[in-house]
Amino acid sequence: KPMEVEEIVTFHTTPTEKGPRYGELHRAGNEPLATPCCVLHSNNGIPFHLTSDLLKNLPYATALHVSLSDLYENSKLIENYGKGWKQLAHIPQGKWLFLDSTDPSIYFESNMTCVVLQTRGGRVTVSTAAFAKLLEDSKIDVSTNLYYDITWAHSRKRAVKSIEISSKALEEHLEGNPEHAAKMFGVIAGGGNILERERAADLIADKPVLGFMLGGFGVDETEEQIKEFIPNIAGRLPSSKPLMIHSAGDPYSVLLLISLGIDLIVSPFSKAVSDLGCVLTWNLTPDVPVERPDSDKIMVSLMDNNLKTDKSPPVQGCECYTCKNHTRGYICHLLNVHEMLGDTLLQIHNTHHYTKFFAEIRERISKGNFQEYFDAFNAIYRPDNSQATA
Amino acid sequence: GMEVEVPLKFVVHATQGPSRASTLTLPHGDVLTPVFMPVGTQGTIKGLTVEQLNELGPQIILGNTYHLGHRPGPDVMEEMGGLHTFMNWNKNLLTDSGGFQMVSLLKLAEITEEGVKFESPHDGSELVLTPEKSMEIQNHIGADIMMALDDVVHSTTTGERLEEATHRTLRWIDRCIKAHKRPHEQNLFGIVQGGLNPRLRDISLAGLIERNLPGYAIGGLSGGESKDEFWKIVFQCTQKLPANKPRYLMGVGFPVDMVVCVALGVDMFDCVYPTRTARFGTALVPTGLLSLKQNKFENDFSPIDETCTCGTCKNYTRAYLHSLCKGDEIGAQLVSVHNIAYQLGLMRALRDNIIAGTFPEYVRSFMLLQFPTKEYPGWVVDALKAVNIELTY
Repeated sequence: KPMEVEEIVTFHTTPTEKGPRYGELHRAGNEPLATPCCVLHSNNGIPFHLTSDLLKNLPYATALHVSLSDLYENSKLIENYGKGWKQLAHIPQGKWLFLDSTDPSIYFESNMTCVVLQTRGGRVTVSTAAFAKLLEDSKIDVSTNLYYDITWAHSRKRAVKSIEISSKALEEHLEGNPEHAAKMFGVIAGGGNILERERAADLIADKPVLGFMLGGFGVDETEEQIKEFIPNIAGRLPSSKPLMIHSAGDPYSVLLLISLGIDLIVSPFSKAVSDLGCVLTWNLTPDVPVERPDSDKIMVSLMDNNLKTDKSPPVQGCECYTCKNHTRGYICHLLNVHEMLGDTLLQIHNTHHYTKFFAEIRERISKGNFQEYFDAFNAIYRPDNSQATA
Repeated sequence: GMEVEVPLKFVVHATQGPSRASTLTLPHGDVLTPVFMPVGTQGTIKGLTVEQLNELGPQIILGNTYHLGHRPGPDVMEEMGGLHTFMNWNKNLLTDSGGFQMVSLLKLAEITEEGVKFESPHDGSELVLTPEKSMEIQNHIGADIMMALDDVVHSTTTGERLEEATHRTLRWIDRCIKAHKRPHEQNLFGIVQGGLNPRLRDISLAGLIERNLPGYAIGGLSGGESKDEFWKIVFQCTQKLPANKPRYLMGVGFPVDMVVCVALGVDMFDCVYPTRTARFGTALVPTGLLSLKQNKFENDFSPIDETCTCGTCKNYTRAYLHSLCKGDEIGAQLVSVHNIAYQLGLMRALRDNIIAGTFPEYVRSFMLLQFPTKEYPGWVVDALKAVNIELTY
């Protein structure tokens, strides 16, 4: 079947030995995606409370994560509609959607012979063919292959199984739909077993995929494991291809992952902060000292009743819609009476702040002073050089 | 009574029978009437930003004194510059008195001459909402229109209690007028009571008109009573209320009801109905209701309403909204936007037709769409007949 030109995705970067690099994902007729970038957790492409008109004012929010567990039950609807998910859900065409087979924060025991999804309607077994069809019908920009994820604590036996299922799924998928290779991130499973991870990488290193997803991260790995595993795995893959990973997404972890050569980070961080009733306040240019309240903190809670008559914006100087139009006191009220607008206003700010962080990182990499930026961040926010990540 | 220069102007541009198309000028701008006022209970309209609200275009919205009086409370409200500044809404606001919600939400609400006695939902202590207190809270909120505290009874109340409530409401309006500290910035509307008793309604009407208030509401008529009695009382009030002042029918918001009441001479409406029903996936359309949860919409790729220009109808299909009905909050929000747009659009259409002289034709075609089998409800036929509008058969 002839592939539509729009579906070809290519990655451009100047490969480095290891370390942070600037790159771009290209596809015909649409805006490129600059990396390193954040792939934001969302609800089927809509980042929690942020409808399309609100998304338009968040220019740095360029990539959205779509979980197969959520999208799958809409398969019939998507097939009948025929014009793709972005149009159906009214997601701006310029945004990039990443379909991911798994959400690492939701773990459940599977029967280990195939991929099982936990959907709203219950557990569903998904065949590669059904998955490929959904990817085709939904016209989603980029996807991982179907895979079965495990945590770092799992046994070697499970690690072997996870690799078997994942690599088999990739093979089957590309056999049935070779044109999907150009939009696929092959998954490297294997949990916390370094030898299995190496083997998994070797298994798919020369597949004609767009890039690679390092599965199973973002839940319970330690910083040491990140520093050990990632260079090891990346070293066995072609450096011209982008690397994607899940992370808890706190700023230190983001900087660390990017310093190790990661290009795309799937992150729930900004949304998690909003759920806590907090706004992100850390200084996005730690290499330039600023004088504003709370710039010495990563985040601040707006539920605090001491703020109920605070007329200042959540973050002074922030150019997002929330900070330009509303006060801490008003948001404090909304949160305390459980009004949805409170969540929306937090999401607008936190999404803006967090995605702008990645824009600052990209600029530093382009200018060649990423390490100074990382050091400046650590000097302010991790002065005791503590080893813990999020 | 003393002449107070009130911050309100009301100009009637066109009439058709008792119906009128007017402009109500308030401190935060013009309001074209007939008007439907969306309800923003706690200082926000269910998840919509002010920017999104301005897209929809209401010129006046409601805030609830009962809720805002608790949280954030009048002191915070005053410190933050009033509700307009607090929520960053620079068009008009109307607040209710707080009394109705106390009676409907609180268990031990007992009404005495002093005020509405109730049990604090926070610590169980006994508090009283007096006319003076209601005015104080509403003065702090700073809405362009504030409502007097009335002795509100259930619409089916009769006998001694109704008699008492009617007279007490008049005693309380005097206390409200006296306690109102910002008569040059905020308009105090009185509320006509009297249940379903025409004699008591006349007493209430006469007493309020005598007080020369900037505007009047018709209260006590949004639940439980039969529609036959409902329209007659509305008509009695609109006939007697001065033509040069706005008339506000509280708590009425079903499209059919509003069309009839505009025909009877009502200018303003408020109701939680459009946003509340949106949460159940129900959309308002010219033919009645669309229950988007129903499976028949699974593959319906048309918008909620082809004739609607709201963001939801421009950008989303029934099938997609149906898929959201399984529990996504965003579904409720999108349908809310449409329902508010529908109500506002209906009011605009009524207004335009009154001005164009085609109001009866519009009412006929509206009712025919709602009741295509021409089995119009008896009360609708009667009410419209009373203002010389005959329906299509």
